[in-house]
Amino acid sequence: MRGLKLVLAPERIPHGALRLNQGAWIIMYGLVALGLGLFALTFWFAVARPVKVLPRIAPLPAFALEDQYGLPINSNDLLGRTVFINFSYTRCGEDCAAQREQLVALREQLRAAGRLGSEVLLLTISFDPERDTREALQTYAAQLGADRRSWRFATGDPVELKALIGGELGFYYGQPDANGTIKHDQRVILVDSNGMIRARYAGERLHVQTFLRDIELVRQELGSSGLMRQVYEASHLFLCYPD
Amino acid sequence: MILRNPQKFMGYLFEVAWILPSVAIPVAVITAVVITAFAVGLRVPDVAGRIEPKAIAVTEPFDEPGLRELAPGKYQAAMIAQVFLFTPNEIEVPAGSEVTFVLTSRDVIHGFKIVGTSVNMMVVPGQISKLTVRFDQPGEYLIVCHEYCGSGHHVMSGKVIVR
Repeated sequence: MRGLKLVLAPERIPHGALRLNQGAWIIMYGLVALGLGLFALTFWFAVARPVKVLPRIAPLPAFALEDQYGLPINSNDLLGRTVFINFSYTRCGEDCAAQREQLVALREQLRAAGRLGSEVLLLTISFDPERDTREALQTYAAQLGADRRSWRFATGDPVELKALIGGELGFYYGQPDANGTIKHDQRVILVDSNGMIRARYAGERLHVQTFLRDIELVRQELGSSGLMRQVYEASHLFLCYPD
Repeated sequence: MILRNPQKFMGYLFEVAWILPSVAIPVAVITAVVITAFAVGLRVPDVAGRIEPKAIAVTEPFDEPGLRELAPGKYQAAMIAQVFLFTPNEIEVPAGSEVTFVLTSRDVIHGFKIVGTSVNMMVVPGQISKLTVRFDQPGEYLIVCHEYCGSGHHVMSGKVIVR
């Protein structure tokens, strides 16, 4: 009890122990102000979201397929470039028209900007390997006016395709019906140069303007360094994703 | 008074220096919550988790709700919750299947709980709820809405049959 009294009663405290000089007060209130300032800054960052990033959804699952010339194409070959992958089949008509149109538009825009091939690659994976032979894929590529450096068409073993598209990525496609039509989800994914899936497009967002915006977002983020790099990390932390 | 005793005065100031931030911080946090909820609009951050409630009928996978086989042993169950039912309200899968439940609500907030499993979600209009679970034991699993949604809340149920 005596010890407690000694602490609580100011007159018993040795002279000067609690007497902070003016500088110490300035430092103390300065720290409080700094704390509140940091809080306000964090709050503003999380609400106003001045820096946007694309979420790191998942690493692209490993795969080994063959392209329209019989060349092997696997998930590692895609590293170093931004890749748009869509899942379709060559006989898909009206159902896939919108998706095809957007990808062709993207190709045209990128070609005009000189970024096609070197920076951005398009990959169409067909889930109908039985009908989509090399010749069928080559014909399809020619119809779309795709050149082999920038837009590849791949397919492979049905079991592997099902495990990749349905099992790993969670996109549905069914069995071909009597007309050879396959019911499937319309999906495009964006894979960054580190092999990370950064966006999944469906519905209205499956649009060339969204593609171009996202290419730019990924380029800026992966090209950043120093403080800006940390700011991008903070954006991931606060889930500052674009609409 | 207190000002006449410099040491007491210092102790008082010290207290204030601690009390002020301990009041300011909760006030700031509550302000932040209120602003994010009303001014900014509370929503899931990723656009993939949002859906326009009016467009449910034309948005995959809710345009054709039901069970789909994604890959051998992996299924996707797209379900719509509304007062006071789940569409579909019965799904059947083989034992050992991994089922991803994808849900959204047409009207108000509903719950989605599968008794005897770890599945326990809120189903919010405008948002997509997703959860994957593995059914190893055959049997019937009851699905209940466990978020009060109106006068028929108690009849809102369904089942998963595992064979």
